[in-house]
Amino acid sequence: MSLPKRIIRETERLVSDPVPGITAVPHEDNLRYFNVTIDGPSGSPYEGGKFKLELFLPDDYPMLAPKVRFLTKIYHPNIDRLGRICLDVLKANWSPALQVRTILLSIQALLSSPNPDDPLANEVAEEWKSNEQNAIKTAREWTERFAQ
Amino acid sequence: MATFTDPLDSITDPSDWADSSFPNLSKLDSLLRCHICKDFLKAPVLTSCDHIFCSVCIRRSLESDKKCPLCHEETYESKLRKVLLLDEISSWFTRNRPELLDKHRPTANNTPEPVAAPEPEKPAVPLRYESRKKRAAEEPLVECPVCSTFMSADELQTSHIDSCLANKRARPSPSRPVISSFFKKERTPQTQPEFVKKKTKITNLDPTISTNKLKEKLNYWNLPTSGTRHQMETRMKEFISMYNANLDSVNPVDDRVLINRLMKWEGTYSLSKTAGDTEEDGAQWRRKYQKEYDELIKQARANMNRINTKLDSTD
Repeated sequence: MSLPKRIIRETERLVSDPVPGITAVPHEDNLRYFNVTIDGPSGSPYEGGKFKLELFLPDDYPMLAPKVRFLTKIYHPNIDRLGRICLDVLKANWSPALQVRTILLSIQALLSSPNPDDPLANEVAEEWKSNEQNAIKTAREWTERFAQ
Repeated sequence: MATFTDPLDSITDPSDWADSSFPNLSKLDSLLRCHICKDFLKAPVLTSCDHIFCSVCIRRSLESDKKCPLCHEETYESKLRKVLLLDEISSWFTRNRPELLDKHRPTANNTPEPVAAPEPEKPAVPLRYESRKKRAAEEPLVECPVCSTFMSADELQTSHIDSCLANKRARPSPSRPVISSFFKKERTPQTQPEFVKKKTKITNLDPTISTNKLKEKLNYWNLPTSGTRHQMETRMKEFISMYNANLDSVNPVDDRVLINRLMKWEGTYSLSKTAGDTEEDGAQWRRKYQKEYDELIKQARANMNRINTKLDSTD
């Protein structure tokens, strides 16, 4: 099966000119499937962690958003325990003008600014709202335990 | 990544200009690209919110979401307007890009010395071409009134015009500018060929259309009627996008070319493969990881037993 030009172009750019703190490597058997790592942004409780994600480009990409999921356990109000991510640009605000690069940047930004008012992991979000200090501490601990 | 080597040749990117002697051209290069396919604009159209995309790209996009990909404003296919001048500019750039890139290649690749270190003359290359290439950056070029080739005024007056006039009746030099001047006379700028004006856009597919009617429609346009209902529907929809986009092009192609492209497009879409493929993959996968699965199942059972016995003992 041949790949659409746009996917080839994006892959080529991701490999030749990677975003700082982000890697995305296509799977050898399936070039629509990427192994992704995102470094925890500095200043966030995820600093020092290396988070693994999987990213898949569906047939209808770019008309449909890429499917992205965290593989590394992470304590974050917008990421549930299955690694699913609650992010507008992956859902209703997806547009074919966006690309893998911009999506990964958005996810990195989401790590810097958790949004407990639009939660996916309810318990985490509750903790974040009621005792932020403690939530950040837990996030830091999880980063040390799972994201090294 | 051996799989990429073949198509990579045709993949261009604004960053290609980064090591050229004129890196700013990357700006023009990216401006002329469609925000959806990231390739140079083909048959560009303007939306009601003033954004421009390839006709086929925005039609495909509006198929799934009636919003502009750039500003998220509501946009409709019927509101799209073609921009023929931009189509001409974009296709000019696409055509001339390789040569342009070549001419702005850093003169010495292995020395750190920057621009304009004059290369030693290569005797194999016709002198006229060589001198033109060298002067191109400094002097404004003028067009030969006979053959429409561009060159320096000096060159035109001293040698070219005489030889050009002498050759004219016998055989115009076979360079590209002659062809372009031929087209210039044939068609006024920003005009589509006559045959396009007789064609009308195909209306979008009614999702409630009966399968028989759908097959009739496919047959009418000489498209294959193979595959499932969903496959036929997708095929028809894509053809409508391609057909309507073709009518927005300053250089539209024949319907047969469109059908060819459609078949190529289906190749990039796993839809054309049967569901059997994935089942086969699944079976292969199961065989390959049989041991691991067995081990996991064993572990899970052991865990279950442990929990059960624990529960029993606590009860």
